[in-house]
Amino acid sequence: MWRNLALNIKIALTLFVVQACVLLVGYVWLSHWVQTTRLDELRHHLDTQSDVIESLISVENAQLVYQRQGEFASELDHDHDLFFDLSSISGEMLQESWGPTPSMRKALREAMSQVRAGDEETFLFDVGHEKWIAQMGDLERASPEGPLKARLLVATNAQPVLNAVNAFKRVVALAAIGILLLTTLGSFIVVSLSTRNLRHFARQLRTLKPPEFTRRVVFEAHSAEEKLLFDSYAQMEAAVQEVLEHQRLFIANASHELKTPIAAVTSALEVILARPRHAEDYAQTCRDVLAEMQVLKRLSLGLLDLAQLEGTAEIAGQASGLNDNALNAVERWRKAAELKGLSLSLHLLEDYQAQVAGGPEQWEVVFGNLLDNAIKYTPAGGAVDVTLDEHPGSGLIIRITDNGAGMSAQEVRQLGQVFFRADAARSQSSSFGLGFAHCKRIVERLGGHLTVQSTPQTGTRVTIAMMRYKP
Amino acid sequence: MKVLVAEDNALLGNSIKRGLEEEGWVVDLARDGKEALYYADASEYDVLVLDWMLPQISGLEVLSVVRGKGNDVPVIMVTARSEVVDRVQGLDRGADDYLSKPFEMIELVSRLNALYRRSIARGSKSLTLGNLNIELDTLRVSIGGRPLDLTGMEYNLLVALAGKANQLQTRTVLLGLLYPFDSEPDSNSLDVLLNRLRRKLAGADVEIETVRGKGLILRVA
Repeated sequence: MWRNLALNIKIALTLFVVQACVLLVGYVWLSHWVQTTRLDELRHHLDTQSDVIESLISVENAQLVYQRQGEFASELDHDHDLFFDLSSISGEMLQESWGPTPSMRKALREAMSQVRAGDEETFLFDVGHEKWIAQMGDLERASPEGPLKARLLVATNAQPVLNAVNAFKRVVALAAIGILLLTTLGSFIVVSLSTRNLRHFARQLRTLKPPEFTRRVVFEAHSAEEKLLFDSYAQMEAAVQEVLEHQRLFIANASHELKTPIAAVTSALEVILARPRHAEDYAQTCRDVLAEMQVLKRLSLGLLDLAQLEGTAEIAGQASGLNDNALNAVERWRKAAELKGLSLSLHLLEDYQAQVAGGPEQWEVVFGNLLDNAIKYTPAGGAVDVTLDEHPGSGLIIRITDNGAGMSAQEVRQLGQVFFRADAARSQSSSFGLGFAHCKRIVERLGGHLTVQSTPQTGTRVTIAMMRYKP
Repeated sequence: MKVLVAEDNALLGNSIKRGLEEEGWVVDLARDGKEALYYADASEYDVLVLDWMLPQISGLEVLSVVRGKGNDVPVIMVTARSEVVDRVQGLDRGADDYLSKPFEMIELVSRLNALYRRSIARGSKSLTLGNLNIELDTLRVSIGGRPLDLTGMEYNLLVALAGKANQLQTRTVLLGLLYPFDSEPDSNSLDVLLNRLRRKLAGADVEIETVRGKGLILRVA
């Protein structure tokens, strides 16, 4: 689910969640800090007022009395948001301020009497819908009758401060939500814009249709990542084009090689049947047609073998004894060599257990094709030799040498490419080329390497380098 | 009616040669591109049949070289490639027609005849000069409706001259068009042939004139 989400949504979501957490913590901390600070200030203020009120209490007629006469004292006495209550230690009320309404004073007294049990320095309490903060203190005055003791309770309305704090909290919350939304939207837009090229590119790739696989538009990279992607794709595209070109050439050349013998046979038969001929004429045409059909047969079987090899997923998984493979092949071709008057020699490995990748069938094709060619292109009296050798390390070498017709450097270069060459000028020994291409392909797929050295009139040496098979 | 066939497959080349010869064509067979170029340079042809994929030099290159030398002889490309791009490439380089392998002989013959007709009689199936009528497809010749019995060589000479009526044709060109490249015709074989043809053309509205030391002209009366 998460994997399938678009990058812009992913990043916006992540940013939203992380930011929401950070902002929430910040909001809680800030609100708490502001409220505490403001309440502390209020307490401090209350403390000051309490001291002032206390200083305005004096002894009169052996009683502690708040002096209401002064302008300043009167102001305190009539402040709506300030309430003080002077009572004896036994709890009997001596005097109270006149600021709040009588009903409010009553409510305040009741509320304070309930909280007072808590015995705190200052305390917050509810009065109706408001919060008040109060402070209680004992005071003592000397008098001629001895020291007088009383208890002073001063309370102030904390609601305006709390309201201001709440207003501040609302503003901060709104700002936080605004920041959250803006940054989320911003990141969504920025990521959308920066991935736009990639989306176009992906859409373009979807429209690619075989057999061209070519994009119509070349994208200009806007970031290092895009450049990496586009360059990698271009590289792959070039490789695919090369394979396709290879395939196209193969088909063009193979169809030439296959269609020409068919055309030849058809035309020969058409011409010979066009009018009555002599018996020898018919016989000659039959012989020509048969020879052409042999070419066609060799070609089509070779093509099928090659196609089958390409279609086989894994051939390097099997292993077989190299000595056995060589021995079997040489035995099979000994008769053909003798018939042609050639000597065929074999030098085996000392290590009889040495194994190479590939099954006996694959090696039969490799040895068979190479020996067939060596015998075919070596005149009577010549020699064909198969030598197996060990290479320092774990390499194995197979050499098939003849002293026959040989090939020019150009012919060697073109070996095995008959069906893959771009120029239409071609050698005529195409079936040989196909067999050789097949051998080379098998050896390559088995992890080996095949090279040909040849000199005209001197002979040809085919060398195959393989690694020992290690399961 | 002389054609150069360039084909590397021996059986196909020989079959085409034989089939065309039996249809009245004089055929030269080249085995590779180099040989084809050599033949095209050294002799006269009414049509070239070039295989696309020839050893040494490809048919397409042969075509380019021939056209590059200003030779506008009709050319049929024979190809195993069936992709449209390939055909277009051939036609672009100046091929007049193409034939894809494998083909039927009858198709090759009819395409050759069509090209030949196009160059000799501007596409018409017959060539009429006064009361002389030559049916190019059936090789029948008649004077005023009276059929004329001509040998292959006589017919070829007549068509070679009639195709370019009232124009001088050199002896070299005529010899080139009448005999295969590798044959060595007798120096007076053309005169022998000409005398026989003149006799047979008695009563026709055409006359073959000899321009001394230069060649022949067929004039329409």
